Amino acid sequence: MKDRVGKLKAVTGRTEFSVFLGLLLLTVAMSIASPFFLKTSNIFNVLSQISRYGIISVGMALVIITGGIDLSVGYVVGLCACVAAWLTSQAHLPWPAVLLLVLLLGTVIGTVNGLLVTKMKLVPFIVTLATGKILSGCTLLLTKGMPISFESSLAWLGSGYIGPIPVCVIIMFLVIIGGSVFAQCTLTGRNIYAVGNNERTAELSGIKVKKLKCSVYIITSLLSALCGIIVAGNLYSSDASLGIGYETDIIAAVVIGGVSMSGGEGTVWGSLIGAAIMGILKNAFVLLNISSYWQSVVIGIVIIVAVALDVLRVNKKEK
Amino acid sequence: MKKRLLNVILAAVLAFGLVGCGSGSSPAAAEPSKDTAEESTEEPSEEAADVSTQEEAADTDAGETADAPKFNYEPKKNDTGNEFRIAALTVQNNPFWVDVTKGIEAAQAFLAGGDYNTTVDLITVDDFDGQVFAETIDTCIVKGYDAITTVGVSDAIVPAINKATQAGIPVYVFNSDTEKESDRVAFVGQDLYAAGGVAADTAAALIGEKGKVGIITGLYSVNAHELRRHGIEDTINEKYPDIEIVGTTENHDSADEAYTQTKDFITGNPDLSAILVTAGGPHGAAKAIEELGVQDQVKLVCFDTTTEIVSYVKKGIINGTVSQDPFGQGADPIILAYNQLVTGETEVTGNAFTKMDVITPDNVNELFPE
Repeated sequence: MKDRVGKLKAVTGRTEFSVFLGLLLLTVAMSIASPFFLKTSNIFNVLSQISRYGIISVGMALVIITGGIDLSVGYVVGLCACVAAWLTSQAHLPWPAVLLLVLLLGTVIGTVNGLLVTKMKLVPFIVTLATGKILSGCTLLLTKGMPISFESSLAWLGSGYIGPIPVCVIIMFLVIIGGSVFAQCTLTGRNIYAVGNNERTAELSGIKVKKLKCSVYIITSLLSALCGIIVAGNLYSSDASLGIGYETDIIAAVVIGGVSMSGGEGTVWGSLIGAAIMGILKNAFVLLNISSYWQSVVIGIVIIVAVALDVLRVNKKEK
Repeated sequence: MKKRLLNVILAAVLAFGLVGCGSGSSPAAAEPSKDTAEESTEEPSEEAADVSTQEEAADTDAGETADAPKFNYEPKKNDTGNEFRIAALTVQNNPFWVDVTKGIEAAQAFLAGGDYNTTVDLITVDDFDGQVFAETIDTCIVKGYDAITTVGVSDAIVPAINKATQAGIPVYVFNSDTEKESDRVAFVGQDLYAAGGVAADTAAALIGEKGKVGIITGLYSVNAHELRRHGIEDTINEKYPDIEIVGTTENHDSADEAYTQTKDFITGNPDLSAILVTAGGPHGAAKAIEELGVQDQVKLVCFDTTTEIVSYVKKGIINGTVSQDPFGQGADPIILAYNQLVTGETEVTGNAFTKMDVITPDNVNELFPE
């Protein structure tokens, strides 16, 4: 009995739990406030909006758990979306080749980020800020500021449906499940937490820290590349504005979801809850006809509350 | 040792990347274009990181535009015996600017003719960065251009404009004007607030002057977007009491965000009559309306005439778009500056607003043939 209470406490004491309660509360409030909120079409609209952030947040959560950060994600999305469109419409490559090349591009970008952070010991904040700048310039060089329209079966990833469910939503759930299993149930995944908690100790205990840190940047860029294809596919058109500003929303989602910015703590699926809260808030302001001036204010407050809860919890634990 | 060397090289590559893409850490310099190649005094550019010069004008556009230019102002014959050089500063970051550039290139090709004897250098700045524009204007002053035309990106360029004017170089501002007053001769561009009114009138006519409308605006922080948005809102509030604005969202010029927001608007307001998009990304809104199959109920009105917008007007999903004559915005200031150099008099001062046509499914094929 005592054991069970202890377990229950362990669950309710987690940040994810309070955030999940918040999400539940928000959902109930919204379904009372707007008769349209629980309509299937609206739910899938919100989910497909969340999917853009949700997919990348898996990688971002891993990066932040190691104590790093990746500010280049939005620009990876933009570049990969435009490269996918260009390869399809200008180079006339078949879709499997385009998919492969774009994912490869994502991997290369992630490797560069990872190597600069691990081999050269540069601060991730600066490295990814800089690579982001470079990528944004490359996107403009490629597109010359013009949107690139394309027709491809690849667009199915962004605009297709299986039954009533958008394909991108299914991809998001697969990525979240895969990421959670990887982080919680594999040795490599658990080592990521060890690195975030104390890099020195992790290294001494034989964990290949550099390789591990490098790999989380690769995962993040790879997922951003996938997201780029999805965003491009949704509109059958790419331009350099795609992906801009994603990093802030994704980092916010990850933090709201209970990942500690100082590393070592949090879960991958928590970021999905974080992304969902932000997605529902954005949806709510339009459905309820509330001025969108308030949107930024409210999202900012939510982030502060989420981080404050996290700090309170950590302080309590330390006592 | 080897490792250290590698580190240095990597750092150098990174730093170079930062400078190349960053916001104007190097003074902008214009490369001489093909037309000025014979002038041996032109120094080649050493610092063209942020700026590049387009050189294709003479061979691509000369054939069609030199014979029959459709300029809003008539270029006077150059009887001064002098050769003039005009610098035209612009950006190239979205399709709108392609049409502006066509205007600049048409003026460039036309004025290169013997009767006009004027060289126009097209200088492309890669970002809406006031600092880079200011530095580029400074460089143009040093290089002794006779006149300068520039986008009025931000107040950061006001000192440079005033410096040029003091040096006897007339400056014409186009597309958007600086908020702070400068010594520029004239502004050529859309009357943005009035354009908002035109869009509102167009939407009102489409929906029988009653119903619910949603507004998707680019960025609250961009003055041009705000002027259009206020133009729309004020017109609706003053002239159309039966039209209700159900909400305003910010799409950051992104088609993807416009897509989601349009779906949200229609979900939250099943009886929605119209959506107005003030800036970038209206084709995302059009895609959402097309996907939901509500084009008969929800009318879409936006601004500008990019390829995406025109194709949705042809499909009848975008029901009206207010054009701002991008070609004229590129060409007019150059012609006006040239005429001033020739006659010594200013043809216009203050605001020279460009014409506003409303492109609809009815007239789109005439104005934009395949």
